[in-house]
Amino acid sequence: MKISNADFLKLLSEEIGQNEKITGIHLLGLISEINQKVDDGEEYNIAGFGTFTKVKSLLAFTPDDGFAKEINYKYEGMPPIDVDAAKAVVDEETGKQGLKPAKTRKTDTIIVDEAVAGEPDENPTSKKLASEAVAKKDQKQIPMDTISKDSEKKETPSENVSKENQASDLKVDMDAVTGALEINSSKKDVNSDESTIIKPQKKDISDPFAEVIKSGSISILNNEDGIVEQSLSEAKRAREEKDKAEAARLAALAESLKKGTPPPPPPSPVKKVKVGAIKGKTQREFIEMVPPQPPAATEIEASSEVHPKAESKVSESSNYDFQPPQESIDDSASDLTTESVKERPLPGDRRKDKSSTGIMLAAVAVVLIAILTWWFITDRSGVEPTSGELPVAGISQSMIDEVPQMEESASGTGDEIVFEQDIAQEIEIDGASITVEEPTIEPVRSQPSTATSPSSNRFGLRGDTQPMDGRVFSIIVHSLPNRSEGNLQCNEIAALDLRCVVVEATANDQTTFRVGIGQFQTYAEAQRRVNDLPEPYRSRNFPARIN
Amino acid sequence: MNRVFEKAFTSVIRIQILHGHTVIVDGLGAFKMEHVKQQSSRVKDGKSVLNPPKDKVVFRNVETKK
Repeated sequence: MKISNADFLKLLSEEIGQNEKITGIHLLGLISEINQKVDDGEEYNIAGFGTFTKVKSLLAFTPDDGFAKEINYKYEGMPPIDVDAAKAVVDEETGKQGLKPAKTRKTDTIIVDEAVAGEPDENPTSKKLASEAVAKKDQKQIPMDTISKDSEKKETPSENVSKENQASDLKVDMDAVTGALEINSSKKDVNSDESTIIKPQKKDISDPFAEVIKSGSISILNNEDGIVEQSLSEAKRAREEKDKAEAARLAALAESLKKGTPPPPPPSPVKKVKVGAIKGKTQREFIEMVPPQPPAATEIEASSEVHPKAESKVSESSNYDFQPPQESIDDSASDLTTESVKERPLPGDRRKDKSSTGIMLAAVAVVLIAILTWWFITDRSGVEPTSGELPVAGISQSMIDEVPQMEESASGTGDEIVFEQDIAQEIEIDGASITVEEPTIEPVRSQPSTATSPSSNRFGLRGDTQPMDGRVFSIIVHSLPNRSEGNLQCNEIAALDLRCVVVEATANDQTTFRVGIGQFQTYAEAQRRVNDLPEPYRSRNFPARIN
Repeated sequence: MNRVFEKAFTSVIRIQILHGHTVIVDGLGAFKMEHVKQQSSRVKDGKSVLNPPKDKVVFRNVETKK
């Protein structure tokens, strides 16, 4: 970008802080001064900037060192490089690695300057070097292409050989029953000592057993109906046994001829069943096709003939379980092998498990219900009321029952019966401590008690009050601060032809006088008789022990 | 000529050159920055030396426009 004189004036005026006219005047003065001095043969130096001189009738400028360094700040400090020394170092390194040093001219070394990248290259030699470098690269690529082509050509003949061997030279007859395998191969490339292995196509991706074949342990034969795996060692054994059997048969025949006896019957013909024929057949059809096998035989037998002894054993056995040869059948749909069947749980087993758990749960539930009913019944009967909520004072019945039986000292003086009891006990009720003293019972109505009343009249809702003998419960309807009020209430209750009792009790360090209706032997009975009370006593009461 | 103006004169030119601009001053010439590529040269000993690149200030005398 070029900055014209006008722009320069603007910038200068902004720097100075004056008008452009004034700066222009100052600038012209400076320029004229420089030119004068230079024309006079002198130099005009501006400190920190440079020196103006005249060289060949032209104005020249040489910048100061500081100004030059400031401009060259990017590359300041970079020393020149000794090319020979650098080359020697490179040669040493290549020599250590065993590589030949590259033959390069001195001008071949090019250090790319990023700042210059993209700029027009003024140096003509660099252009030549670049073109030569490109040409070298092209030359290097050529042999790689030719080599790849040669490698491809070499691979084709091997593929052709494998195809031919595979297709034409093999004849396979397989006996699915006995597991016999006859292989007639006229192959040329026999590698292993024990077996003849046909190498499949190298690039045959569809053949999943290509890798297996390479190992040489198993030979895979392609059949029209399917692929059957068979170890050739077993096939060899089968062949040997067959030969032995034939030899034995021939020997027997010869002996029979010598002796003049009839020759032994020939062995039963072997039914050759192809693998493909097994597919889709039921078990019955298979049995008809195949002679029975000994139950222990799980692998495919190598012998082509069925051993007569094995047949006899099988026929004698009553329970013949057909076990099709597992390895001979290559039926992906037939997954029901003996092993798999054993592994599968029977449906009945699962049901049994479920039923047993249900029975257990039902038994537990029944036991719980029985316990709850027994508890409920016992609670209702009132044999030993363990807990009871009292509407007044929050005192539980159990707390009251815990009070031990008090000693009684009856001193009857005719009309009055006074019971003195000297037992004090602390009972905690909802965190508060209560001291329960023995209540002093004073019957309201004094009656001559010449003779002890019968037991039937001791307890009840109506009638006269009876002496407190033993454990006595009553239906408490009032709790009053003094006895006189209690007596008044009791008289009102007595007017209703109900048995009334006034009992003294202490709660929270306070003495109260409780007015109770009736006398009962058990808590449950008292609670049951609440319904017989008239209002308002029926709705506001609580049974409690008073003795 | 006062030094203040000279300082301002030089500072403006310096800044513009650092920015890579070419400053044209009528009556004097044009100031610009020029890049010099690395060059190989021979020393008196006969050794070849590779000089690093550098930026330098170049002044060209330009006739004033009338």
